[in-house]
Amino acid sequence: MSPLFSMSFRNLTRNRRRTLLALGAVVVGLCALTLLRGFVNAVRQAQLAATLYGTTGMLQIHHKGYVKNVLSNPLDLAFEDSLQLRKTILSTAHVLALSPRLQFSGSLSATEPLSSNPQELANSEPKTTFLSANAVDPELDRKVMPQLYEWVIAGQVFTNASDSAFVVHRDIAGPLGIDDISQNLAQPKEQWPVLLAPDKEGALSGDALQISGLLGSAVPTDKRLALAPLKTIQRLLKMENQITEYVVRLDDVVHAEIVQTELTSRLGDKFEVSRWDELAPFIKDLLSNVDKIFGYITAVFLLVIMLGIVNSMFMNVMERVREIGTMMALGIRRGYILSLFVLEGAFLGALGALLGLSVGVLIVFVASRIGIRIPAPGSTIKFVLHPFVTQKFLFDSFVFTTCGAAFVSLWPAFRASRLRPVEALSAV
Amino acid sequence: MNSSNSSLNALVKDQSKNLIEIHNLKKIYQLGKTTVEALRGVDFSVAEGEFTVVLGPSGSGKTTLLNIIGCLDRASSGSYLLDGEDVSNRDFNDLAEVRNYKIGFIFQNFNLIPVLNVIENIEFPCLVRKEQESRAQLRERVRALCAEVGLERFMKHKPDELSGGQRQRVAIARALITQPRLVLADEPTANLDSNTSDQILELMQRLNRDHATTFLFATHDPRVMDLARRTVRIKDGMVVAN
Repeated sequence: MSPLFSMSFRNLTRNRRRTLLALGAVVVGLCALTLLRGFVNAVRQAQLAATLYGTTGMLQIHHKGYVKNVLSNPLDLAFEDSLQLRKTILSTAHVLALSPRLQFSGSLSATEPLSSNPQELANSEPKTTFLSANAVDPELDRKVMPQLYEWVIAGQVFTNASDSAFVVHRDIAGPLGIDDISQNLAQPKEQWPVLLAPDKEGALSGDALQISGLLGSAVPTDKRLALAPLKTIQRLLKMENQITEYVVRLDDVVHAEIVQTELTSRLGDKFEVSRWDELAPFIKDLLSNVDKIFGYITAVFLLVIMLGIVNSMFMNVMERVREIGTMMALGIRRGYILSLFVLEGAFLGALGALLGLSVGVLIVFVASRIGIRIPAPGSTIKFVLHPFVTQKFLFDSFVFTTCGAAFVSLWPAFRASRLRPVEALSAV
Repeated sequence: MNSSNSSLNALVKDQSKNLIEIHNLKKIYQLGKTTVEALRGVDFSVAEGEFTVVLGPSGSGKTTLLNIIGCLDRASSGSYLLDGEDVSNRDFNDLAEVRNYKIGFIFQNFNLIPVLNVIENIEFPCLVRKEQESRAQLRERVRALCAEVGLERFMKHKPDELSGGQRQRVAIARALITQPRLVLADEPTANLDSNTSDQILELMQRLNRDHATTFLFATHDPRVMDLARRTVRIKDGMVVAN
């Protein structure tokens, strides 16, 4: 067997300082890439989880035309929450749970000044604020949108669909003078704010509801958000058993498209089934842009790494011209010389990638165990990021770095293989 | 003893057959606008089994001649027959094969491969062949050669762990492992002290006798000249005495 492999590997140990420098560049580069990928993955995961388990859900089922007309009058396109419908949805493959919801808009007015501060009392006037609310059955909704309930930053969520309490965003509660939720819970019913909401016909209905909890912002657009008990709101809006949507949770979001097709066919023309990425296209774009930016950064990193390798390989060739001449004198073909240097580059890349990825994975693992608390842009909720990298990323990085190093080594290797034996032998 | 006699007999029998035949060989270098004629019509032949020395001052063209004979360089004109085959117009890979199978090289600076140990350096030319003998057989031959050149105790050593004389012994073993028809040695003793030079020359002479391998030297060393059975003197790119 030809000593090509062992010679290529051993040649790396000849000029240790240069090999270490080239190796160092690969190790640092790959380690930094792994950390960046781990962080980007964590951000993507957190953003996706916030969307899938806190904002849109994986799938939503509406009356046909609802998504297009949601801003005009969503209640017009409400439909009956029937046991038959629920069974049909839940019996579909990959569906884990569903939550019936009634989306409505309204205003919330404080009937009495709620503050206990005498100064504020003197200056206070009845206050009103607008909200865009989801009426939910908390028991079912928690199973479909668990993350939403983690964003309750004070107080608690009502326990059943018939409660007279609701949860509002803290930006809604602020103008109503509700700063301390525990103090607010102790107030008598007469001091509860009144929810006024238009029913299907546009007639306003109102009822006093207690604010039991405050929501923080997960995304910049949800500051008008409130959660209300489904049955209480259905009664208030005279829409017994009516809902505007089912939010559906699947065993895995990758099945969203299959389930969408299946449900569209099973539910018939009256309903439309929308995926999360159709309901929140900006999130999909955001995630895709994050990948693109990471791709550009990766390309720059790899380019720098490859330049380091090609420089090191050129130095190796220049240093070993006479040795190349000797090997040629001994009867080695040009292809052998080419392979020798290409393999040397590949070993350098492979070794650097192995070390860089190992160190990177170790740091990512520790960071994941600790968790990185970081606020999302425009959010008041701090996400806890758990960086991770996939096996595919590690495999691709290893293969790409090794093959890339071999590829860029072709240049110096080709130069080496084209040397004339007589000139190479006379090199100093 | 018997094998030595039979080699000598074979040598005498084939004395008439030329291993190297060169006719009107010219080598012209173009250095910018200057044309340098390194060889100006050399006629020269070497019979099989000869121990020949090419002499000449620096710049006389002896290294150029050796490079062409070693298929490391091509002549500008003229013909060169090695072992009866015209090798003057072969391509790089063909010439590589000719070098690998027919020619062994011994260099002034030993030119060993630093990352390979003694055994690996010696067996290297055989390992890059298309058709290879079994590894065990090759190792056996390498061991025998190591014993012959006095390197048994250094077989696992790297070149930088050896003295100059030991390195040249490795180079000689490497030149002979392929069982070449011709061994070319360019100033093989120039970097060695006199004692070591004597030992190396004695070794090469013995190998020439035992293996019936043709040796062709380029040298200034008078001790080499003393040992040579034939001397070719070259001056200004021409053979002036043969």
